[in-house]
Amino acid sequence: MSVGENSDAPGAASGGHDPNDPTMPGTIETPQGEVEPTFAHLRRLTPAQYESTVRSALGDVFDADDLPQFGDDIPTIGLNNNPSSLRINDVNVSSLYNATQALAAAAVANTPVVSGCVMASGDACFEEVVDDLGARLWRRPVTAEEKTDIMGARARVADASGSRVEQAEFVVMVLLASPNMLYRKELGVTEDGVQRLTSFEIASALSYTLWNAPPDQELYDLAVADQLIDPDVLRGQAQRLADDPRVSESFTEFFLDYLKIDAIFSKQKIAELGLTPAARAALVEGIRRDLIATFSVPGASLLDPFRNLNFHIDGESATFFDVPLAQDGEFEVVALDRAQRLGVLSHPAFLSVHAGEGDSGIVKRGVFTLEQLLCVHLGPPPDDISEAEDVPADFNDAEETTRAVLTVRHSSQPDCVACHSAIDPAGFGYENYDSAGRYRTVEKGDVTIDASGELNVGREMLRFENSVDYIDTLVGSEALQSCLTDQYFTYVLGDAPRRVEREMLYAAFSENGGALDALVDSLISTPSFTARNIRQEQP
Amino acid sequence: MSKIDRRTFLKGVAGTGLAASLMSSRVALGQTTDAPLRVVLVPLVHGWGRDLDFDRTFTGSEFNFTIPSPLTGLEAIKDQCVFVDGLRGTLWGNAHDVSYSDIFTAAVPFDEHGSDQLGQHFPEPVGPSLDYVIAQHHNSQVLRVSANYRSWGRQSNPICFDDSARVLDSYYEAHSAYDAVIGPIRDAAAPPQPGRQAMRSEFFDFMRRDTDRMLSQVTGSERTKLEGFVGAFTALGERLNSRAAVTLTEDQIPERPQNSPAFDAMVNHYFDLIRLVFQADTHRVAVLGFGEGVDSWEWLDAQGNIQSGNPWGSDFHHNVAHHGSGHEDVERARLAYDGWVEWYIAKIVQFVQMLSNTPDVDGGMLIDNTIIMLTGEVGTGNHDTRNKLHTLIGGGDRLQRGRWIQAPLVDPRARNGVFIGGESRSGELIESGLNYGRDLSAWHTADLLAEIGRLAGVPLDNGFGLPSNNLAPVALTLT
Repeated sequence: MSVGENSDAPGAASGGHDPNDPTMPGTIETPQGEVEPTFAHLRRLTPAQYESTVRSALGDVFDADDLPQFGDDIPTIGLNNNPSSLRINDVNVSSLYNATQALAAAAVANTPVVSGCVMASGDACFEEVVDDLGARLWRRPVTAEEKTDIMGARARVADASGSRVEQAEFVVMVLLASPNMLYRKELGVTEDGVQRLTSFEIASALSYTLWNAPPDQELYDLAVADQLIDPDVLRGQAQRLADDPRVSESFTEFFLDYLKIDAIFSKQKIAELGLTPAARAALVEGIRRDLIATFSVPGASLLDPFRNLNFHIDGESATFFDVPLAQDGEFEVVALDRAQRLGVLSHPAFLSVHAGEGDSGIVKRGVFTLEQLLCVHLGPPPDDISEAEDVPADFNDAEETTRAVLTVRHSSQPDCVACHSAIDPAGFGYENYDSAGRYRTVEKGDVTIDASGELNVGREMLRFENSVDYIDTLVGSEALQSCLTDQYFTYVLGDAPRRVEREMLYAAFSENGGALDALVDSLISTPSFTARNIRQEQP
Repeated sequence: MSKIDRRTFLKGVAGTGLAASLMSSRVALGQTTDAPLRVVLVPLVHGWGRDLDFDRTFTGSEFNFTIPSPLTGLEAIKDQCVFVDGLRGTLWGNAHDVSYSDIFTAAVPFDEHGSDQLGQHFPEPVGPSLDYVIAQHHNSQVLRVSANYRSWGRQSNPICFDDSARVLDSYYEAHSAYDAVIGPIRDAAAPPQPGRQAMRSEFFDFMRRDTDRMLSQVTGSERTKLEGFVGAFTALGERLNSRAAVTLTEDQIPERPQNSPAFDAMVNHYFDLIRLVFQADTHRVAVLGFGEGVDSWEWLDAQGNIQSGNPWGSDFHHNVAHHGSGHEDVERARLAYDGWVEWYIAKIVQFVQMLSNTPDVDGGMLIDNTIIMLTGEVGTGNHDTRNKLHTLIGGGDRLQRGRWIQAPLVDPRARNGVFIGGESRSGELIESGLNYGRDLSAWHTADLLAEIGRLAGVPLDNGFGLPSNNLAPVALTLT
């Protein structure tokens, strides 16, 4: 398509792209305005995506212990699914290499295309292994050059007395460890100043977004036929994938990442809280079940997890909810009192992650809420923090609420007060929950909790009386809903949306009450879903 | 050996010595029975005993001095120690954040802020860290492990970098470090059969070719990412193809640590691994980060009662570094902090004793060929890189030990030719540190890092890190 042609149609390249300057980024015209797409990325598969991809290719022939430990740095702020932080490095490469050997051995033993080749004679079947597994693992056909390279290396293994088992393992190993396997390549081809994703790249983007898994055969075949660049075909496939139960798992993964739930496993807690490894695992499993159940309901909304009242609780986790169980320790769904709990932000797993070792962590919860739930950028802490405090002589920590102690200290330090006057109220609203997320109305024995407050977020003033009221107010705010759509876009595409795409997504979200179907439809319509910026991000 | 200009390191030290195979260097080492100097860099969150309100003060003279609390546990190995007292780190910004990147590089340009790679809190340096430089020069490896040395939600603080400012990660789980280290050492004792050896060789060759095809399609940050990918595989291939100078028997190899061991056990595992890789000469350098998480330790409160456990509650950093001067818990925090450092000092003494009992290839003991450097990101614990204490332990006759070296101080308002400030990426010098109100060391940590590098055989005659960090008029010498 040439510059300016059919510029009213969504997806048409437009804008100030100079065809004589191939480095000049172009824009894509949408009804809402021109969009410069997000940067192109190589996106390393997440652990869940890696497993689903290997299972899709090799079958269920290996144990979970055979999979690599990527040891990704789990930030307490920000998304794990960040293309900048998911890396192969000197630390996890050993695990990846060992896993590759174990998975290859499992494939030789039990994956028919591989085990059959070991039992056969001649070299042709090794090419079939490359073609078959390569397409599944790399999500595109292996090129002739790549296949020649693999087969040449295999031949050298054979020449060095390598058995057919060793040759087969070698072929599977290089397919598994290749950057074509490890990274989702979303680089596209240059067209009118943007990088248009290929059909194979679009197939992967769609499939990993909605299923956290590689393309199935139907999607792959459409990529082979290069039909996914047709918006109607893409929309039809998105609808097909969105109607599949697997979509609930991918939205669950998003929430677990977004809320940093896995960080509970490395969070230090005082022993008195009873957050044993078993209890932590039970809480995470419970919240996972909550999310899957929520997203499995037809017509589910991205807001539903915040309003859920039915919690999956077992014998290990019941103490944190202070509820009796009807069954004998197994997970069951318990409808909780709305006066005490409301959705995922009141779940002990979330509250434990965003809390201190023994206290409720007002600042931690406040910072997370502002930065991640409301998209308020706080900036770095000041360079040099004064130690001077001016605490009244008769102020007794033991007789005051934690929020009162925090308030008097922060307000007495000029360096602190500017930021903490915003941060602290965003944490006060969770004060009905202790460091392990247990509901409470008093602390320090008999000091009455005060979880009320006011939070000024842009054009909105959020007022609340207690923690449930706070969560309800937060979830109803435009600030949270707009931020949530931003975070989902960032999770899917690896970059924050720019203004026009943000508005497109939020409009679809707000007009449809956050319904997943509408959100997905809007997402795949954003220019950045099928195109990337011609410029590449600089380190 | 020709001298290497500092700028060479800043631009690209990776090329030095890479051509020689690890195997040949190991064989040569085994034949000559010379023992190389190994280096262990040990950063502790908030440093090893803060000054100012924690009153860390040495008394006496250079060779007749008293070790202050909380370091008095080092009395047991005082004749092995050199205390370099009062160095300054880079003086701008949030010292904790800047110092993590600067602590072993001395190469963070002025007013750099967070990066996409490291996160918003950590600026990127423009030169490599000392561990990388030493290992590259000797074509050897670095074992980097973290015992909860972390902040801002990271699993380990970014303190080690290659010459392209890529962070060099640490193992933060004992069993992961064990698996990565022990495999090649065991493999050295039983090399793979020819078919397996060919598989391995072809595998790593293919990975390089395959990545090259993709590299040709990318620039910028994605190219850096891919270079890190292939670099990790290349390094792994070299590790697997290397041979230990000393073939260890099965009983010399420690048990595999359990997942999530107690903190004390984790630290012991790391000591054992460092001992092992030095003994097998597969690594020349180790970086061992210490942080929160100490268990099974005790401290005395103001009444002399034994206390145990973490007295800082939820928030180690803020309670230690941001306590107010009028806060009633200051004394409690100080005593607990002292006890915490004392616990680590006891562990270091234990490590030194382990190395003192481990034979080296030259017939001596490992401790005589190992320098352990204790350091931290701040000198006072309060976001301030003034007056940083560095303790060097071991090294045999390479160091003049049993010594307390006090940094020459200058009045920052009348510097007498000493530059105190920062350097921009373009090399512009920016004055800073004028308003600290107390004397500052003429020596930067760069001066000490350069000296240790030289002792380890790297010809750093022009200093280390940014040129502006190497302007002390009096050289720091340890011999």
